[in-house]
Amino acid sequence: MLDAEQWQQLLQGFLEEANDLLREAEDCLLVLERSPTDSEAINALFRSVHTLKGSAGIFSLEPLVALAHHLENRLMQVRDGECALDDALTSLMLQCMDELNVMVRSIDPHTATLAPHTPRQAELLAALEAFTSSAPHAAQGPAVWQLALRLDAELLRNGFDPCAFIRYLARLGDILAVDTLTDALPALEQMDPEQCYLGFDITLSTEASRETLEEVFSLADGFYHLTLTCQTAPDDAPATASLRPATQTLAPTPASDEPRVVHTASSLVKVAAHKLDELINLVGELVISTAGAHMQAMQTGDSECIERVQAVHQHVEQIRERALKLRMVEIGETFNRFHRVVRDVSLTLNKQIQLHLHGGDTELDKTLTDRIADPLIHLVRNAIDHGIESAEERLAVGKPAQGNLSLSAGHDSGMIVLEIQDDGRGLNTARIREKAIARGMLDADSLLPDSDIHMLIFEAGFSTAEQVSNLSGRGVGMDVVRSAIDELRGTIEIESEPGKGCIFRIRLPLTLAIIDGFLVGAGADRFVIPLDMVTECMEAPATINGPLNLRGKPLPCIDLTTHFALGVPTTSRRNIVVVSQARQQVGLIVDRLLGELQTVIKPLGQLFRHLNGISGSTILGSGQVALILDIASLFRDLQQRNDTKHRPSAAIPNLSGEQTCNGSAI
Amino acid sequence: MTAMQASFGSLAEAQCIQHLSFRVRQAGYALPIDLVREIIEYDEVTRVPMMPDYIHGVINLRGNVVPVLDLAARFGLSRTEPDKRTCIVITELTLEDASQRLGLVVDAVDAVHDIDTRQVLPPPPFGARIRADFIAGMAQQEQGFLIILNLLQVLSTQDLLDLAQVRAAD
Repeated sequence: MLDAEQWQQLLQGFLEEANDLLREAEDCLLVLERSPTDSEAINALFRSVHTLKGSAGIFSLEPLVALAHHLENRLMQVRDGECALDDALTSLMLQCMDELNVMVRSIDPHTATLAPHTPRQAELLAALEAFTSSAPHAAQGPAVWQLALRLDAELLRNGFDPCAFIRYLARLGDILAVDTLTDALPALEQMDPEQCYLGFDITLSTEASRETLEEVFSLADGFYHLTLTCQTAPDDAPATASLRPATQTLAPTPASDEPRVVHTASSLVKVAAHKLDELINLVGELVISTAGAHMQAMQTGDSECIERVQAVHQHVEQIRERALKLRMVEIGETFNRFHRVVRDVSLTLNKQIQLHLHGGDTELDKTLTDRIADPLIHLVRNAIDHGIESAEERLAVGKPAQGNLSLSAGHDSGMIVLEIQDDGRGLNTARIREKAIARGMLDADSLLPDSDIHMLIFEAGFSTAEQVSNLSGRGVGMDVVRSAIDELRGTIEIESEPGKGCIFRIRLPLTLAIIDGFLVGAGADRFVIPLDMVTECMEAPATINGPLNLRGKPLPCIDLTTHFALGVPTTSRRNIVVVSQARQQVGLIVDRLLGELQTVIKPLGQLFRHLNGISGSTILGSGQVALILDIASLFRDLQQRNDTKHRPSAAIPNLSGEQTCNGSAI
Repeated sequence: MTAMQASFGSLAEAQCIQHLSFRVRQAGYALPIDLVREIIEYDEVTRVPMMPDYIHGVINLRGNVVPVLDLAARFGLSRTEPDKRTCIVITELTLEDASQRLGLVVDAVDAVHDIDTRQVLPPPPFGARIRADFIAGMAQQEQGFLIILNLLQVLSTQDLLDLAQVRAAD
């Protein structure tokens, strides 16, 4: 028997499996909604629900089994073409999925018990039942089936009794004949009483479908081989084509598809997330200690030692990369949830929307996928609610009635780029401007470029929706979206074209744990700049007033020592690190450039959460703590400081001189 | 008063609670010992820009980055100039469901006292050396009163938030 711990593990496994299965089932259902004839999807859906029912049965979760069973029955009819999967049925099935989800969540993880039927479940069961009765029954009389059942020698040892199956068959119809095949039976003295030597040829008259009959044995999956032959099959039975001739000898079970599937599944290992985190933390420590060892080795100047340390360093580097890859998951799973979101939202708003997904195989850190899901959902809802017009409006401006929403993911220079694109009306720049002025966020006479005005929608308490719907328009949200993205060290930008649509582009780092950094010194302090933000370094001119001329473009510069009030610079020969993000560029004036390093990010904690311009800290090889600059928030901070001082007058590039003096000194 | 309730409430049965006492500018203060993780020497502290004076910065505590707060400066006195006796008391408390470590700069660490919870007096409404809301209670000792600190209030991030907003408005 299973002991308590094994039972617990089994249950834990079931709960995880159930969640996966339900998600899979929901995805399939949504695929079916778009292409109702997709037989692969219906089969996958059926399998999911069936497996769920089977697993739930082990734990005697009666209400769950009941609902899954009814759902399965309906699906069977859909699969057999006895019932069309229309919108109403899809909606009902989605509701059932939701209820199943609720049930799975309410399973007590310790006792594996589930509360008895709720009225909601009864309602759904009744609705499913109603569908059954109203569905057009395929008028067919009982068919006569020949079941050639060959049993595996291990069947009995695995606790299955072939009689039980035959008895169950009798409930589905009339058993006309049972022929027991005994030719494999050895002599009595050689017989192993625990082994199964029998086979059966059964003639059954029943109205049940081929699948129902197959289902009867599915519990003993892998321990039997069944050949079904329908003698008076209805003409439209689609499965008859694939019939195999019944074998009359007890051939050993041929390798079916099932074991192969099982095999692929077993090559995956499920690991608890916290174990991975521990590993990655340790790898982080290893990176730090290696950096320390490397520094020490350099100081001794012993070339042998340096070489060895370098070798260790390379290996550590490889381990780090592999370790980080362990946490990478495809974003496709997150994307697939949006079928449901889009479906529900567009139904509520009565809009027709086609969702397109691209780049679902892009991999990113599990934490990122988990934490980006909510902001994405928000943006998608917004796009549907505010962006895409109603069908009439669309037709009036000559667009197809169906709106398009696309979600895509991809890599771009070491970052993950997620795009939410719609072909709606685009952002209403004038309205945003009006609203911003009304709210005092903007001066009435200020001349901001459109792209800057668009960014105002991310300010707290900003909403331009005329009507507050239960989806969006309350002005909480876009600022939450931005802060969520900030927290992930990402950025968001908007590209909007009136009447054509709008793109929200989110850039995220590949991982949250370790980054490549560039170490600089300012005063006595050291800072790490994320390396992917650094575009170039150069020597600073002796005096700087106003933006520099960087190959014909103005480059605003800020002095880190003065910006952070760190005291006086320690050197007169200073350097500029040019950092860029999205389309902005700033030169950071620092005292010393100290080179690249692997940076393990250590959060600074609650106390520093309101700190602008610094996102975290890291421990250098020497054991010192260095702060990591948060370029995105630094940019915003600069913008704010600038806005409060005077209106931003765009720096005028001076093509002849080295420096321009009429720009705003930041 | 939450800190006091947290530290005393559950221990109503046990009458005595061990407290660590330390000195800040000649005055004696104490903290329940279960909030204290360890005491370390004042060593290299990395300063964090744009923080109030009483935040000295962060230290590397065996691979963890821990913020360091100067109690004297927090109480409105001058910032501590570290000397040989200056210590950092590493405390740990739960803030918003996450355990947070924090170092407190003190001038010297004294001793561990058993303080009878029934003998702890409420803070005087005025006349104490520090803000009344920083005080969880007063414990009478031979040499005078020990002030038991309300650590949550001392660490209140609300103050920091206010500061950040003032800064933003500048």
